[in-house]
Amino acid sequence: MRGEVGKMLRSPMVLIVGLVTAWFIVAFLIVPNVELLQSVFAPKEGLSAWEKLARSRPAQRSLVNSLILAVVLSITVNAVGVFIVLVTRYYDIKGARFLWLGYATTLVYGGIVLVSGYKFLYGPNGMLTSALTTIVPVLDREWFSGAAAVIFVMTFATTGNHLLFLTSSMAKVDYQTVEAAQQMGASDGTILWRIVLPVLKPTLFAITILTFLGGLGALAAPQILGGRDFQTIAPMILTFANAPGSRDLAASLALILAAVTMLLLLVLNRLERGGTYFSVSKVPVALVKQKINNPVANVVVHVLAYLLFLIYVLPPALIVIFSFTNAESIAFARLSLDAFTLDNYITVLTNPAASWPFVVSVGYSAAAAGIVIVFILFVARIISRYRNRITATVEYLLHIPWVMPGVMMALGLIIAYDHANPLVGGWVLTGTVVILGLAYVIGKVPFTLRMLKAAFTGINQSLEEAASMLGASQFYTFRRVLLPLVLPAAAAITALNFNSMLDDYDMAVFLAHPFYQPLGIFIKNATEGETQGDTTAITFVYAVVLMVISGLTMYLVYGRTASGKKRRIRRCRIIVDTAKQEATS
Amino acid sequence: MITYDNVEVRFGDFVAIPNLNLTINEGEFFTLLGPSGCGKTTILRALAGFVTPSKGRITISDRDVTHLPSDKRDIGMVFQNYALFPSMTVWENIAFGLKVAKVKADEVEQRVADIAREVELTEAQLSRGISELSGGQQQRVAIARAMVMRPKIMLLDEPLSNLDAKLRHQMRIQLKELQDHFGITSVYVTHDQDEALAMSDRIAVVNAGRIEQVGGPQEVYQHSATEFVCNFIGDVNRLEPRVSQRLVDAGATHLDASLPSYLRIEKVRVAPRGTGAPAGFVSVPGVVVGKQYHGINHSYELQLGETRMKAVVPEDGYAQHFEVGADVTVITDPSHVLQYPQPEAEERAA
Repeated sequence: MRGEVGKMLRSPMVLIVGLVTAWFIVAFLIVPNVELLQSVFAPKEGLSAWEKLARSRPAQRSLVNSLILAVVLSITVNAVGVFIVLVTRYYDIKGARFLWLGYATTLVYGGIVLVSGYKFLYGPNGMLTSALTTIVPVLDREWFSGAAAVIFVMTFATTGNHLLFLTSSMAKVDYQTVEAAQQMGASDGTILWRIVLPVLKPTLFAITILTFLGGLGALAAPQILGGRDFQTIAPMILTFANAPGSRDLAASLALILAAVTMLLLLVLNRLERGGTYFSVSKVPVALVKQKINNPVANVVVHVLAYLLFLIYVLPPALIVIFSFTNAESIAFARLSLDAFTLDNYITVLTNPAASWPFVVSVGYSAAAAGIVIVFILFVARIISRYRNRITATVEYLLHIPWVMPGVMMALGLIIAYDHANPLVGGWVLTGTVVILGLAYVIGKVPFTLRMLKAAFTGINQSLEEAASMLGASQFYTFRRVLLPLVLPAAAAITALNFNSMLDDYDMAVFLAHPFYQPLGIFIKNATEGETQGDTTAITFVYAVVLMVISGLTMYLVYGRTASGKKRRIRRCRIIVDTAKQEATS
Repeated sequence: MITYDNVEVRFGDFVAIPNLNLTINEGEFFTLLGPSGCGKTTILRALAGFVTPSKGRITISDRDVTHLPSDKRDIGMVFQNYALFPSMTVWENIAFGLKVAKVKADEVEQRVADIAREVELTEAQLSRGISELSGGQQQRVAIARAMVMRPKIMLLDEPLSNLDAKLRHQMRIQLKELQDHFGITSVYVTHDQDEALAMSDRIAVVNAGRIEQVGGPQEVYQHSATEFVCNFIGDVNRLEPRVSQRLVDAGATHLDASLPSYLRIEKVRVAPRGTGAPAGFVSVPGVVVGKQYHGINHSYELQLGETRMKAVVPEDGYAQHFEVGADVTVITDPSHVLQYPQPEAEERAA
């Protein structure tokens, strides 16, 4: 082992990357969390954070609400998620491809954009609310708020994991096992319950935990739709964090969130270890869609599938349609031919003030995605090349942001860098433009590392050996042999990272500079109070642009088929799929 | 000449190669033969420089290369999965080592063209991507990439294992022709005994990190030095002590019925019941209890009292064949019985 480490440390590339990584880990992964812990457990003055928490009824209520949201979402999201995967991938449903496109809308618009879309349809001035009030005049226009609204929106917002991961697991069901069960007289229900669903179990566990964590740390949906009665931990942390005297209280809530997150990730790891869920067949056969033999059940499933399709498609469809209408039409959610205009798009494209949030978001996302991919390309290469205690420790440490909720990380950065800190050259970072970009980089490190490491690990070691036997140096081998192989995966990861930061709200609301507010904040502000009309119109244009960019990214990463010069894309897809499978299994 | 002097290879606490002493002569086609996990690839990788021995030394032409980087050993290697660089064309793959060595462009062109011709790769194939080639063509590229560097030694790590039976047979011939043509010392790793017997000048049979026997193909096959070699190479009947005793009783007094005894299946002759044994041969009555047709021969499962034995009879149009249930006489030459000392067998079992 010592010899291996010595050999590793003799490489100049390892030394340089090692120093940068060590600084990064200490400055941005350890110190902020330590400072956060200090503010909770060793307060400088007055009551301890725990005592404050014990006296704060809103804080306690937020904890209970978060727990309720997480538990209920674990049930509702799985119910809807499994259903949409079954109707698109397992059962023979008419128009399944069309349905899939509808369900997949949450892959191209999510977060704050999605919440604002639902509010536009179901909110006080929403089309549906207007329609309902004509039928039931006494209906409160604020009917779509509180726990039910949050659960409804988040249920449909978070089934993307099912579409990506559960679908991929479903493809691994060996059809011969289904045929074998059929031959032994098993009913459709028994086959689904005893043969198919057990194969999906590990993915379902993983998705359930991710959903639970999503519910626990939800920010945008409870903040916009929760109303006074249903505020959860994350919005409460934001409220407390904005008052310097209550930051310790925010920190204690963030710590609880982190503790539950870690506990659940541990549970997930344990659950995944037991049992054989994959097919042991050497020649698995692709799944053939199953007909629903009972005619009544068939009709019911078709009706439900198309009803869900409407729920999924209406908000984004309305956003797209209304983005081409004038302010008045948007304000009253009424459509008429003369209301259609391209003015909103012209405004966004030509008015610097209107396009500024978009420019800020693109700037942050591109810079963070670029920095993180270059940094992690080197780190992942070293970690996959040298397997020893040092690299294992570094790998674990770089996964810290994965177990820490985003709000805790943001709060940690605020607390650690609101004073001159020698770790960053004595600069104060809190309140500057840099801190949000930094948070984006930190947040994307674990995902990027895991994916790139999988890509490097997927490369046969003998390629490297062959290159070294032919006299190539380590750096030459990295540059000429390995890099071209991981580059498509790196491009795909960069695209996914860029995409996911573009409409970020959760980090931005904590860390954004007042003059450099990204899209997420702008869209959130547009959903507040009576703000309708021009601002909303511009928000819709942003939402459409985001959907187009996300759609394009998803298409490039997952959607293209291999042919001719597109072979590279297929390779990248294979690598990303492998990485994705590794991440979920 | 390649030598391994008291070489030990460890992976943590696991000793893969305990104490290896081996000499490979210049220009010979030397095969490391053994079952999966026996350590043959480790022995090869130690020579390649990918595994560092924990003890002992490896020399090439009297030069100690034990701690020398792989590219300084003047060795070429063909990997089991070919290890071709997928992001490069066939030409770029073959030229890779020459470019790293900063060989002049026109010489690179010439050498790549020459070696491509030798391994029967066309000009059109040179500009193709690796994934556009068949398994056999990829194999040729891997050989060309290693050969173009004009190494003194060529290492081949189960290079034919990914090819279908027919192509494997063709490539065997071609590999051997190339080796003869260039006169390169070749060290070949395989678990396929047919391949080893057909191609090698000498074979080392490896078991649990130890060399059981080194010798020419015929020597290893017909005079297997250990019980393991006897069992691993070819098909053999293990004779139970009772059968051995019958052979002793029938006149094979040189045999010791208490020792583990083996008889290769092709040394067992099957004749109609009552056929007399030629002088010096021994006959035992038996019954055919199983029969399989293999195209070039039939294999028989014979019941001899309480024991079973296998035999093969060629499908040459002359030999007599039998149906299941037929009474037969099993005739053999006792001098073909291979016996191994008991203690060694016990050691192996331990």
